[in-house]
Amino acid sequence: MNRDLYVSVSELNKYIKAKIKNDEALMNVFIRGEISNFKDHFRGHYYFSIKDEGSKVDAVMFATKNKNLKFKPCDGMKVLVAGYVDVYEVTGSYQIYVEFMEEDGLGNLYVKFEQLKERLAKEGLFDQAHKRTIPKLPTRIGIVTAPTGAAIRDIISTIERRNPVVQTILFPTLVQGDEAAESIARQIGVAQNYDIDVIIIGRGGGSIEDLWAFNEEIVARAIYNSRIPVISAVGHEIDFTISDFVADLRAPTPTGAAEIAVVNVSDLLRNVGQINTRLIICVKNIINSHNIKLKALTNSRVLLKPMEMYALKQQKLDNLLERLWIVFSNYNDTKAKNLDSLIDKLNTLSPLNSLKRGYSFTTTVGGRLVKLIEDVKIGEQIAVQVMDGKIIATVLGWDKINKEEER
Amino acid sequence: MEEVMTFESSVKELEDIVRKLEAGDVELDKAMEYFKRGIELSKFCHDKLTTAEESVHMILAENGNLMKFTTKG
Repeated sequence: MNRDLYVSVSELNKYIKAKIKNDEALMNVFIRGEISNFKDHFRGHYYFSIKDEGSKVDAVMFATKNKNLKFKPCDGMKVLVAGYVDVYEVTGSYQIYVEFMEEDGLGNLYVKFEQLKERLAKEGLFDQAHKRTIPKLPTRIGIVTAPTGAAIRDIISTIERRNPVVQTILFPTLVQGDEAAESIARQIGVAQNYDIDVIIIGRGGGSIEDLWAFNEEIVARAIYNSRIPVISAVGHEIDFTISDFVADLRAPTPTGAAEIAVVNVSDLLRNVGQINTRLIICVKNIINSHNIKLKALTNSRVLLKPMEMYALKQQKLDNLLERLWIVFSNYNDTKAKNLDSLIDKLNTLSPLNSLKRGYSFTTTVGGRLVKLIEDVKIGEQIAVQVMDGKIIATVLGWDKINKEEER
Repeated sequence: MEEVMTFESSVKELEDIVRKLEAGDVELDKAMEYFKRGIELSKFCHDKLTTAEESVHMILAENGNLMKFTTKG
């Protein structure tokens, strides 16, 4: 083997660079394409790719050239560029050194994006009414993303930090490239067979091409048909994808998705603790107020000195009895007096009194009062009542008093 | 048939109980009943948050089995 045949990598790259630099066709190239992977380096240089449907090429536009641009390039932008081709020996890659650039209408991908978005919106895939509620305290979370990369790391570490008892199942997918959309859609479908409370789908940041799978209709439909609520977290805060619109919730980043899906357990504990404190204070207050009522009752005079109430009644009774007595005795006195006076009257009227004074009255033997002469016959026996008995006499005759004379 | 207690339903019931008690106007017996239930719920919620079931991260392998998954190392 002849060692002289071998050249170093540097020599190869140097040779190719010289070839290309000397090619006149490559000294002035004009290209039409779409910007992707655009990076604005902190020193002011722009690094990006220019691509079409089938191919792409790296490009650089130095600060001295781009400072006069009237627009800020970004991914997806269709542009016309002019420059030259050269080789960057360090990586052996060739690129276009852009001298001049101008906009060439909207990028195709953006048009596709807008068209799909409009169609799906019309069909109702973004309707708020269809959105499912994200559960507050999921026990198991499905994650549809690449098994490697920042997204899954961010999601799992965030979940572990906020609630260490939550479980996850990762449904690994491609997240970029031609097969990514189908892979994502399939895994969303597979996830339906597992007992999970919420699905996070997404990936870390990248160019619009990198994120494109999440703008595909097949993914949108898989999200829409999911029975499990879906949180979409694709790229960075500024990136919006069709998935974001269909999902039940959009998170700005994968970390954000984990934060939304998993409540910080210490916050919840604090909340439960606060309610618990309220409960205890409440019940203490209720018991207190009942105690106060009870004390007020037990301290009432009736319960403390029940005899007092009795004494009052007793007094009243005594009083009544006294009055009754007075009334009764008054009544008695009056009646007694009346009786006396009646008796006096009776006395004065009594014939016995008249007898005392010497009067007498006469009856027949049969007891009939003799008032008139004609009441007796001559020879008839009569009885004359005097004070101390009766005198039996015989009528010897009678002498009628002339009434005129008597007068 | 008792409804399955979840953290969310428990917190809600607990909040309802506290609100009722705070509004006052609850008979003492009823209040004690509520209190007992409230303490139960509060304990349930606390346990639910702190009971360390093993935290597992799984990955669905190509053969369809769930395997342990770690992002570390």
